[in-house]
Amino acid sequence: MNADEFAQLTLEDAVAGVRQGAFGPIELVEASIDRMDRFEPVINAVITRDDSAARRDAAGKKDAAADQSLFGVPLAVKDNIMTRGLRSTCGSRILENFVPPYDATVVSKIRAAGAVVHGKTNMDEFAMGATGENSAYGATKNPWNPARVTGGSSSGSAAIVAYGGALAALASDTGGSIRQPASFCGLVGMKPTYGRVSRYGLGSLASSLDQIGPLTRTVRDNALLMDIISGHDPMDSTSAKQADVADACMAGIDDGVKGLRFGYDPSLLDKEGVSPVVAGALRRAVDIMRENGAEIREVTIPLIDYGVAAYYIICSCEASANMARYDGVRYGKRQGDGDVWQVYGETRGKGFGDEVKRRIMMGSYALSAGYYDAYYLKAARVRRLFTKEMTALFSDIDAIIMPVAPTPPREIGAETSVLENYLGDIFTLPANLTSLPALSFPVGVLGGLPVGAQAMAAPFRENILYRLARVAEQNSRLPDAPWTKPEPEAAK
Amino acid sequence: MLIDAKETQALADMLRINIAPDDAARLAEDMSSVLDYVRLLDEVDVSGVDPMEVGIGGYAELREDVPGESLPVEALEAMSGGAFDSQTEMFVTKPIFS
Repeated sequence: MNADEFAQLTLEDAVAGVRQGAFGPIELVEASIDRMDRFEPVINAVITRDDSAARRDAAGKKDAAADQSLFGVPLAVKDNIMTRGLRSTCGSRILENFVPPYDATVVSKIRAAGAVVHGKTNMDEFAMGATGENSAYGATKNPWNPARVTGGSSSGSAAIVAYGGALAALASDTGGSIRQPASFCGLVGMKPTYGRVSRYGLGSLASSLDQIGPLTRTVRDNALLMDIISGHDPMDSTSAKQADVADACMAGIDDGVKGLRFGYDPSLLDKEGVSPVVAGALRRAVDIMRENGAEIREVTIPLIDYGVAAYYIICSCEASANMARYDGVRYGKRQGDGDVWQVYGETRGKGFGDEVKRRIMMGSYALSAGYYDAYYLKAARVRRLFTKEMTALFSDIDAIIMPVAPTPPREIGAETSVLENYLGDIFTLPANLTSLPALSFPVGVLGGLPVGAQAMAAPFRENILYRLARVAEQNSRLPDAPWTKPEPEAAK
Repeated sequence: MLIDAKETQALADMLRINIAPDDAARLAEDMSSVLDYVRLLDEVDVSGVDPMEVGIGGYAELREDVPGESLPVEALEAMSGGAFDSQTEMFVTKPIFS
């Protein structure tokens, strides 16, 4: 098996191949290294890789235990998920020297399942961004067209899977950071129900919104990985015991959608800034479901116009608290040579990028005496109302089909205002505000770029989302995908 | 603007983030545009609605406080940026409190 054959394997194919002796873990890791060597100079998906450690790990894998469903397969991990002995920067200069002494729970789980962790992936700094351009380690380029952004914040996790340097990746989603890059890179991306996957070992952005989930090329691979990383974890006090008893993500994945009821809000497509490409993809997704026997019901998604405002207050407030630990004393590369105040100021001034500073300041402002009621408390009340009304929709339907992002990926470096960037999250952040699971899946390719759709379900009903996405996958084509190419595309 | 450059500079000082005067003006403009947009929330009637401060379930269960294994010396050395002295097993840092 050569590197280009590796790039086209699914996770399931790779695991089966190792078990059947068609190839071994070392061949998979060598193929992954070969793809990275060819694509990284252009794409910049990886911040840190340790090829020697990956080779050693692969060489030590001799016999797969029956339950090791990722045996010998190299997987990439977003750089805000802690990996023991492997630098984890969160995309920030302030953590450029940070080597965690422990693995995040999700990393322990994939290692226990036999995976080789290879490649810590690029990301917007501390997951604050939606293009992949806010990284201290440079922007990640979209493998479908390197002139375009990958989306973010999980830019590198999406890009490395899209160019076939890894067969899957773990990432985090606080307002769309898995689903939007999945859509921009032609992948499947899951934001699980809040509490289904442990956050222990995740560098927090906004603790009540963050979830870890998988990015994969196929729907079945995504469900496979989800079933491995899900589960209650005593190390995360927000982990849900229901995660241990919910239906498996693989349950009924090939059962189709006949008889399922899906909601669709056509008024979303009339919103300012929604591209005809995105509207077309959504209509196509709805048509596929209808043609395959699902019942489509028109619904109105309540309060969606207020989601961005509520989200950016809550997210910034929580971020301002979580970023306080990076001061050069507790965490972070120390800067400055004076007293403690000078060290704090220099460390944070030089270590944080613009977007991080903006959110810390905005969050602290919104939490300060005199503004707390008007900003944070108001946003938290709107969040409660939004959650109640969104959850109520699922008494009559099994899932809602929505767009992922209002537009296809824009050009790298294009000038946009902060508010414009935030408004781009309008369709993804409802799942984070309401804690609901949401899955982004590809629908087709237009103008050389993939376009996806998203589905959201009731808490712990991820398996319904996989059934829906599996039908979409069986009825969609992604021609000329980067994982089928031997070299990076030229920027167009 | 809801927040001007002077207020932004004062806020940055309180948050221990050194910023240049030009950056203060730019950040003030950015933050004002977002905070102005957020006034949209005033349209929503939230009377009688409790704030939602955690994810669904509101889980906040504490685990048993069980001592784990100590970190290996190599990990302490790697984490401390050279401040860990393996002879004395002490962290030796430059004084920053005057």
